[in-house]
Amino acid sequence: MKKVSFLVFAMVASLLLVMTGCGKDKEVSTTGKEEESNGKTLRIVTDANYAPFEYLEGDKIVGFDVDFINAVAKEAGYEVKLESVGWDPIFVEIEGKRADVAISAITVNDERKQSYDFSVPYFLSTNKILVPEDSDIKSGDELKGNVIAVQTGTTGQEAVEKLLGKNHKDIKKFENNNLAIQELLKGGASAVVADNTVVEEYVKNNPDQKLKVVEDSKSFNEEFYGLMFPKGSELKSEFDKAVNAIYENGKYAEIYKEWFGTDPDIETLKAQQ
Amino acid sequence: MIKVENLKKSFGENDVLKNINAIVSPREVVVVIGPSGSGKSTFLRCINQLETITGGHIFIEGLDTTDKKVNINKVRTEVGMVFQHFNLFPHKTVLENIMLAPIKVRRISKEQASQRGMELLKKVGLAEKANAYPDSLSGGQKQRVAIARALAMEPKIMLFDEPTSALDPEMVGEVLEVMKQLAKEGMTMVVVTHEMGFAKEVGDRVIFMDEGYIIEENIPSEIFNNPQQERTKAFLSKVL
Amino acid sequence: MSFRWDIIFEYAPFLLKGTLLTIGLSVSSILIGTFLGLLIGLGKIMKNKVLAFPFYSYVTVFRGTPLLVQIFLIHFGIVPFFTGETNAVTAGVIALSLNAAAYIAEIFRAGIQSIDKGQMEGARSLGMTHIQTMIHVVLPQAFKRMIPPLGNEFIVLLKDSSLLCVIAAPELMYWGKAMGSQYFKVWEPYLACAFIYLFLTLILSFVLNRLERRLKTE
Repeated sequence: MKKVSFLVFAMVASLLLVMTGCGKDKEVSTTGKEEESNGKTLRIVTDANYAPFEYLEGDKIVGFDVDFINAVAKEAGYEVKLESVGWDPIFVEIEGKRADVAISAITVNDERKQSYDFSVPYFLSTNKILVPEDSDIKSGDELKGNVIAVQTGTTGQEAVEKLLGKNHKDIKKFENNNLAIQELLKGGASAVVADNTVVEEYVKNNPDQKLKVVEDSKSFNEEFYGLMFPKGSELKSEFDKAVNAIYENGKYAEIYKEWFGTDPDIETLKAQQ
Repeated sequence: MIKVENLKKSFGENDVLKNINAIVSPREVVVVIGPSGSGKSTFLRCINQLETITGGHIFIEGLDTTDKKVNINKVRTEVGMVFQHFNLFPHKTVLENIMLAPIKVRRISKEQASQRGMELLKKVGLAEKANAYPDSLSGGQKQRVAIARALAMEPKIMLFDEPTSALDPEMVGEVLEVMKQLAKEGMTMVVVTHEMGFAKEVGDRVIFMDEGYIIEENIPSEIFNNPQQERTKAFLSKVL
Repeated sequence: MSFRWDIIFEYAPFLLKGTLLTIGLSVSSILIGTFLGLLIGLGKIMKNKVLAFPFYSYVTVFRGTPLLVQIFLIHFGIVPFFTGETNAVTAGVIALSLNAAAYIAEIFRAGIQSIDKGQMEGARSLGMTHIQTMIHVVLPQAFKRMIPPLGNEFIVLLKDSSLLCVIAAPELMYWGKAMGSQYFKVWEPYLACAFIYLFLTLILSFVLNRLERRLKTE
């Protein structure tokens, strides 16, 4: 008898736990929707593994993207609740409308535009090649015949697949760029292809690792980052206005200079609109 | 054949055997009786060192088996043991049970081991069960196989640790028959048992133990009809 | 949102390749892990506590740390240290084998210790040595008892191999994630993977069941 009642108790307890878990989810999104229409706090998702755009300092998320989104949201009249959920999950959460905005050095391209809406561009980037100092690789074409590590689902992966072929066996896809760079350092790959800011930042901060950055504007086009919204989101137009506002009032230049030490090329960004 | 000198055995704080001195002569059948907890099984198990001795010496055929340099495995080939719970190997047939040790320890051939095994099975009356598994046997049959298995090593001494205590009453007889036959053939035996009838019929000497000491020892007729010690009297009055 | 069967078909050849690697990784790790596990299990129950200590520590460490952490350490730390480069498949087999060996060691230990002491006593009283008794009496009996928990460990190992996707070992999960990242989908890739794992574990369970029954009737 004791055994049976304990079993029943355990089953009921776990069932309750699961139900409260589900219940909570619904609560959050409803509140989110309510708050959205009240114009209060937005749930913004990111993958805080991408210095200098978003990364963790202790348990705080910091980075260029963080300062940027805080400025833009303030301009648009919203509070920000920023959550790091990982790279792939960003796309899932936006598609499922469980997050309002995503900011994570996300490149705007036609394929993604099919499923998501994007704001006007806020950053110019190119993919570049990270290799050991003594590497012979000088261009994208020379990547062929080598093992390349990338972060899965990025434009870096896309660019390499354009050169080597989709799902080519020499392309190793990792959860994030850190692991891809580790693979390079441990001799498992000859190069990493990722956003220029990321690889340049890494080389600057790790001079002892003896890496260098190779660019190839032929193989790697200019790309633009944008804020990502669920398709049909009403926030897009509001945020577009806010982004342009901080272009005009100098706030963007202020943040850009703080993180990158130079003045931004706002004209090129505005020309993409 | 066996000489036990000042044997002491403790389990931690518990002194199970306090000071045992005994001699077993060749061809003798010594029966050990006593209440539970008296240490009689422990005494038996010390002889073939299934229990490690805390103090004292045990000499088998003049060899001090308690000496660390002695190969105990070799000693055990000369001292067979039959257990209360048989300890047959369930994953082997009856014949395989009997053949295993002679092949692995005495290094005789399979054919020889098989032949001798069948002879022994015939002797204990179980030749037809050669290819059966222990699971399919009754308790009495299992114990007879256990005896055959111990005899297969051609030991000089046979130790019996309450061989019939786990058997249903109607099967006790068949096992005692085998043991009586063995005694008649001149095997040196030390038997721990409650079967007083066996002691009277076949025993050359009875040892009464209580609380880790040998209280009294004598020929069966004297022990049973004329016990000297109070404790012996008290025990016998309860069991007889 | 309709279910995109087309992307599953597009990735089918990769999923198949990945499945084959998953099977290969699991089988080799099971074999190595079982062999190692037996040695470690026996080592752990040695009477000499000093000699038994390294085996005891091994089990504690590998059962006490997450497999994911072990995978990272072996792939980014240990393998490159010895070979100067990484190799996800090698690292995967090593990590899975070492991890499994710890659990299998416990299965062996429990199996051996579950055999009645009387079996050892019966054999030793006949003059057999400790090792002879283990080989001919204890281990054969223990092994029969170990089949269910060993089978369980094998099934766990098969599923644990999915963690190797984080070191870019091109097994099943890796390709599932690639499909998911490319098309921003979750249901299609992960359901497909789930069904394939389920299919594999069902086959494994079936084989183990047959093995258990065969040993019972012997």
